[in-house]
Amino acid sequence: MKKQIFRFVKHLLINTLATTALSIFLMCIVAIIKGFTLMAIAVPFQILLANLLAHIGFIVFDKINMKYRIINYAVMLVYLIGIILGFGFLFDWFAVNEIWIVCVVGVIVFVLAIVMDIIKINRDAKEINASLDRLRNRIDNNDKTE
Amino acid sequence: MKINLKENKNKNDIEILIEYPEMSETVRRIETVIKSVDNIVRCQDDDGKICFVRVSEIFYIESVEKQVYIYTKDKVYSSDSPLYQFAEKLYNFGFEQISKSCVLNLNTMVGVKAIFNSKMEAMLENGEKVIISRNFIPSIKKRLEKML
Repeated sequence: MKKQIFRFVKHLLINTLATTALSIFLMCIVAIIKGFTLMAIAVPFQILLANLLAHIGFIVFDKINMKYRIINYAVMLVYLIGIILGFGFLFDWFAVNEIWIVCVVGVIVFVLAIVMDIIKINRDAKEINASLDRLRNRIDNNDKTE
Repeated sequence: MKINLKENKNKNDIEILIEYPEMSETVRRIETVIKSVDNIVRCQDDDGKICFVRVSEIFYIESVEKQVYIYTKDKVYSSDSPLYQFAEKLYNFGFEQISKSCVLNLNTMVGVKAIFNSKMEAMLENGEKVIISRNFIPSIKKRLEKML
């Protein structure tokens, strides 16, 4: 049980930090394009908090097995936009950036996170299949030696 | 690997001797596979009759609404024991937890396939498919590496 909780927290933190880094990076690009030179010290922490909340929500939505995965993604996206708008109004993000720009950044991070996740899960599946093949070959070879 | 079978009318029971140059994971696996032939799990069939199933015949064990079901190639049994007990007891027989509600006999796994919701689908020897949760993938990978 402890191991499972540890694994869960580790997974949550890694994902949160990864998407936070990506969000900050994209916001920096937007800032450069718009000619800004400074970023408020609190903003990265606000982004971190928003990402943490988003991931906790995603975990909950992930548990709800909807018939079509696309509906799951749509619900997650709506939730994410909700968080962006909520945090945006709460921390005054839209005073310097237009609402749509912040939302587009959020959507880009969301899509990239999904793509990265799909790549990772496919790589893991390949590794497991390779291990199973090696295991089978080993058993076959042992049978032949007999 | 050489296997010698010898009939001995004087013996009352089967006796197995494993000779090896050095203790290895393969030797341990052979030991567990042989042990599992004789290892049985107490469960109930559809009619509620008590029956015993060989560990090596179990494909996976699933918990559904506090009831535990034991799946063999073509039969399903139920048990009152909690899933975690099975996971602990059968660990040495090649069983591994693959989700919060399922313990799989890795020896029956034919392959895996990634599915959309960051999960995997394991295909079993009997054609059945079970879902592997993302959180359990690292431990399955480690386990298979260990088995090699």
